[in-house]
Amino acid sequence: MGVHQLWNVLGPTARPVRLEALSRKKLAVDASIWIYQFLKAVRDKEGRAFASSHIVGFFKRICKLLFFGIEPVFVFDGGAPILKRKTIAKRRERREGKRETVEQAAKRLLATQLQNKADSLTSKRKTKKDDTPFESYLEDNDYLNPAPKPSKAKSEEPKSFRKEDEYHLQQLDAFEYSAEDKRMMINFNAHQQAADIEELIDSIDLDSIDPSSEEFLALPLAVQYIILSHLRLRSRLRMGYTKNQLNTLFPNGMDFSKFQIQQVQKRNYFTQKLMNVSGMDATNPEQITRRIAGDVDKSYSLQKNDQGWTLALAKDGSSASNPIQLDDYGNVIKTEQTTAIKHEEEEDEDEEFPEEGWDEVPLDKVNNLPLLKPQEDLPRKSFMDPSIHGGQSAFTHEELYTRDVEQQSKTESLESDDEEYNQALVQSLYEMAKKNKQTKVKETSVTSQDDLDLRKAVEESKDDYFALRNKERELMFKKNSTDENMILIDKPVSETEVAEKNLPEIKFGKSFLFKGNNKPSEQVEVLQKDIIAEKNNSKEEMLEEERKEERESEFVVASPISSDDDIDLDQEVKQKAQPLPSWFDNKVDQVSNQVPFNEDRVVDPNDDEKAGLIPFREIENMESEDNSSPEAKEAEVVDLESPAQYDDEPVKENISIEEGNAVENKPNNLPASPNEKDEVIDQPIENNLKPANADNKLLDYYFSESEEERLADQMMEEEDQHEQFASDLQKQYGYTTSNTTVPIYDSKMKEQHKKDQRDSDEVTQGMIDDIQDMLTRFGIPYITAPMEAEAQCAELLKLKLVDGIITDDSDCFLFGGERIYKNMFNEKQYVECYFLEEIQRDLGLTRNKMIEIALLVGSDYTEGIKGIGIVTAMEILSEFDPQKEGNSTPKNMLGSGSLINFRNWWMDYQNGVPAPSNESEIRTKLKRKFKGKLFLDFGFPDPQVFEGYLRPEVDSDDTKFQWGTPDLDQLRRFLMATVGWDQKKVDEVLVPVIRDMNKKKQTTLGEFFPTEMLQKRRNLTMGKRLKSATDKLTKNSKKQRKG
Amino acid sequence: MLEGKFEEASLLKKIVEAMKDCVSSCNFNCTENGISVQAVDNSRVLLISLLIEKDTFEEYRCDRNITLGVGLGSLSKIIGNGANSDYLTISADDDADKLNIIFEDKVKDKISEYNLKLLDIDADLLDVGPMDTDATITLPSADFAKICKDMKVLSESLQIIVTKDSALFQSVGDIGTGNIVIRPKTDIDHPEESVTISLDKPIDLSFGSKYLSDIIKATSLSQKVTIKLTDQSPGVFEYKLPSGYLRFYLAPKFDESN
Repeated sequence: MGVHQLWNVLGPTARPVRLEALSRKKLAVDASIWIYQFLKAVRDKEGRAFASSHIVGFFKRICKLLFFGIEPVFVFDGGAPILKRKTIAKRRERREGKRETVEQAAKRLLATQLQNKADSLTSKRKTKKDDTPFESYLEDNDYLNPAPKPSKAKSEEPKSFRKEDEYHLQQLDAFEYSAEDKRMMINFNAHQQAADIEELIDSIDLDSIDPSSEEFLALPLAVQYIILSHLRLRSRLRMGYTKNQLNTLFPNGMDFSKFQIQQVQKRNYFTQKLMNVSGMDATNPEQITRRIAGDVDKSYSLQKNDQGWTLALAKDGSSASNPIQLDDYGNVIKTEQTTAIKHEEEEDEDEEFPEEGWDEVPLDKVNNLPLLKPQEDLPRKSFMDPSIHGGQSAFTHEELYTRDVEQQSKTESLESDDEEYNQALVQSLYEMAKKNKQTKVKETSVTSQDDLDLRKAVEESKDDYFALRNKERELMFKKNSTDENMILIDKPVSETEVAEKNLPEIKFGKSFLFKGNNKPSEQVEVLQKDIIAEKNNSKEEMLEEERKEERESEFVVASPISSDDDIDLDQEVKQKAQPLPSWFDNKVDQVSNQVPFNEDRVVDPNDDEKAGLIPFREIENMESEDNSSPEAKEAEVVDLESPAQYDDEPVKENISIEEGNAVENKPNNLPASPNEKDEVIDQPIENNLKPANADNKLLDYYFSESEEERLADQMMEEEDQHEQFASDLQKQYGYTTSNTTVPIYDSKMKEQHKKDQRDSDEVTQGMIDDIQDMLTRFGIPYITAPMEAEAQCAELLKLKLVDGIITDDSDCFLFGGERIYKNMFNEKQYVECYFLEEIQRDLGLTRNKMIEIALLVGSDYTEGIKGIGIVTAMEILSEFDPQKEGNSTPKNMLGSGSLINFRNWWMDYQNGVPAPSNESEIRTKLKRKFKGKLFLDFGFPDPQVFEGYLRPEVDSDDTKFQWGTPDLDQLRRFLMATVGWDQKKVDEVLVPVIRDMNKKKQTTLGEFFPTEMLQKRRNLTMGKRLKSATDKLTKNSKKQRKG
Repeated sequence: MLEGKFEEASLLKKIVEAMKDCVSSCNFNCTENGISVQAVDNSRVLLISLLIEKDTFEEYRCDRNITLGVGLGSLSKIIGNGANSDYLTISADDDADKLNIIFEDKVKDKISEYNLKLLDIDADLLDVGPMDTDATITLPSADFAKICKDMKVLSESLQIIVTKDSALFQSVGDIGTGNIVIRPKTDIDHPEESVTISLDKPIDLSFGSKYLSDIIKATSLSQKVTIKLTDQSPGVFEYKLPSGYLRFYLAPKFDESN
């Protein structure tokens, strides 16, 4: 961000300003950097990001600003200028180790030689000692050939020649070497060879190389090595693409996933090859046994055979006889009898992923299926149709029971679980199916046989996200389960049967179940909070919907369920031609109207949100003018919600699943929280009674004060209880027991979440929309800059629309920001205030000079020169300042002209022009430091960079900003909906702030009396070199002013 | 070379006490005419302007203009060491990095000498030019201090409404309201007890109580305080010195609509 290290130099000029002194000041806030900061910083605090960190962060900061009477204008980034994008791309390239081109290398070599010549000329002029023995050359040559140096070279002439960099070669009068000496490779040859190889590689299409071919093996080892390492580098996952670029390349997440896996696979292969080539491999390349993963008493070994590699479990000694076979590229060749040990590489076979295997949704979840398609064949219907309550509840009880047993026994031994479930398998086909799933939840390990069968069933409902999750979980479970082999033997039979029988059904059901399962429970809660909030706001359905849509994208980010899947889902639903509302209504009936009956099943003992949901649903009913058909109303609610959660697709199923999920998951935790259960049961009943007298309420009615408070209190309590409960759960079961699906789910989710977040460094439009929505509710004006927010802030200041700029980005000075407040939100009493004027007075740095610093040290717009830090940059500026000689800067010159002077001087040196003998210390130091490293040409002070900073694309509209007052109600609703804060929590902060805003504002004297800036240069504490550089600069600028 | 001798140490003591709570350090600008100070509190609401004219001193000389950056807390501690009735001499060389403070006991033959390290303070100055005044109130400084203290109990701001024949100090807070009215009065026997109100324009201004309680710390400097008010401008609260003044410029509070 900003100009590298510039703050270090500017730091001492800061003026501490009390926040109170900023009262009534209009300040432009560079907000884009904020979102970024929150993205980066907030997630680390809790170890995981929460989707609305930016909202919370902004909220807190806005409150702080308002509390101190500051009138902020938020400025958002519009886009990144080409220059910036280029620089970022270049930087990334460099980071990823892209080598310099042959042309660059040639240039560099030439320049090195010329510089040497110039040096030798200069030094010869001074001292006429230049006798170069051959040995000392060897010493310099070590970069080519790290052979032990002849020690006599050192002893003979240890100080006569000191190389300044690896390209610094001593002048040789004669050059001799033994042709036999293999360590020797003369300069020319070495470069020739390097260049040859480079050229070779540049000229071939690397993709066309088949490293397994005979021809490849015939190549010299060095070439093989280089090609392989190139290939390996190229197979890196992202290959330098940004997330967005990848998105356009792979519009379908699935494709990307496949692609990634391919790359991993390739890279693995290349690594292997590389090891072979470089001899890092074991002595016998045919038989490598190395531990790659496993338990204490288990190891998987990778063996080379005729077809490729074999992965096998070594424990039972079956490694040789029962291997997983891999094809040339390391793909697992599946065989029916293979045990379900998954090698890492298997993930590329996503086609064969046993999605169902990780389905932790128990039996009763599947009960929802008939809701979706009630006209399914009879036996199934009778089993699954919720209308047949007897059967259903019986089933549920059974389920609960088995779960109880599970929980009790799971800590003791996994085996007993398995046996239990295997017994259960026999009971009935349906049950078998469910049980299997359940067992699989525990064991999460499926044979490839299963995979193949089930794949047919679920092909359409897969998503890459889930595949990844599966894999992760699988890896984890693999460690946990010791008895998987046994189960695996049992399972295929039953599973296959079931799968075949239930083919259409499962296909449908599964897809939903996956959906539900993919959601982290935490997220389900959030969603439900949203729903609650939704109900709350029925008067502004439209608005809410809009907002929901904004927020929706956020959810997509948080859990990358691609909308493709939704579409799939949708299509499936359409195929069935099933009217959606009916099932949903049924569902709602179950939830809200038949509470007493469904007690066991529906009541969610631990889900606080759920408890809240029911009353809200009732209230929704009572709010609505037409109370005749509650079902219809419910359907409406769903309509409202659906766009919120999934893109434009009206995928109502998802919501129901989520709700269902939340509801259905509960029995899992039932034993742990009986008291909460009671509470929840009471609640819906109580709420059922209410709607009667509230029939005539208008749509825009929300809760009466007391009711609102009560609900809020309830929410609070429940939240606390939930936290308590969650921690209890963790204590009780810990993360290691595989049976407590919830905690595992959570921790896995967190990991995934972190990864997602890290990948999505970029600020999404959804986040910006969120913030802008909130700002509107705060009555704070905001603008979106055409390009960079910092530049727009500077422009606002120039237009006198604001009194200062709040930013931590030093770029702002370069855009002409004259008054910048930094560290506004550190927990310090004082804000650092920087004035461009003072910076010039104290440091001698003008805006132009700061741009020149950027050109040297690097910024968003330019890469800078490698090796030049801020102090060196200041020295260069002071040394090459054209004002130093009293000359004023020529009008047509870029910046102050210092860099042009610098470039001319360096190019002279580069071209071998001997320097005058009276060169200043700084110049000789620079020469020493950058010889062979720095190459400048006439393009050096890039005029585009000056252009970019001096004439940024900004909006010069000088319409005055207007500030409104925060709308407490709207903010409450917003925060409720987005971050799930209840009224109490919002009011805690907001009410004092708003109260304070309504009071009279303390003015400051600055508004009445003009400030006389100190004219005297301040004595700032800084480093010696910096001090002398700034001294020079200020002296020069004074000279300039006088002249 | 600066050298100034106060007849009594108490004067400087009072001045420093009046200033040190709102300003931690300030520059003493010494010229041949006397010593002046301008300092702003760090919330930039209250400005202190001090002028100690040459005549205030028993002896005074200043050959060249000197700026002495003084930490008021430290100065206050040192001055506290002397008795109120002592002669107090401050002196500093040109380009000095410390200030000499000498107390001379008038009765005993005792001299205490202290050095105070000077600071390099780079505060920007506010250009406080001559101001038009819409209303001027002069009242006993103790009365004003009491009004401020009493009203602070109720609210964090004090409203001053000046009409033709009275000045109303009003405070509206959460717990209730308070009103104090003072009217012009001439006390010939005790001229310091007189109250005068002169008015060009009715005034209605609000000030922060917090800052007013800083201002009334100067009460002991003078028996009278003069309040100069101008619409939509900072109020000026002036305490006269034997020769010179200590003035406070206080930025008013405005309604948001302004």
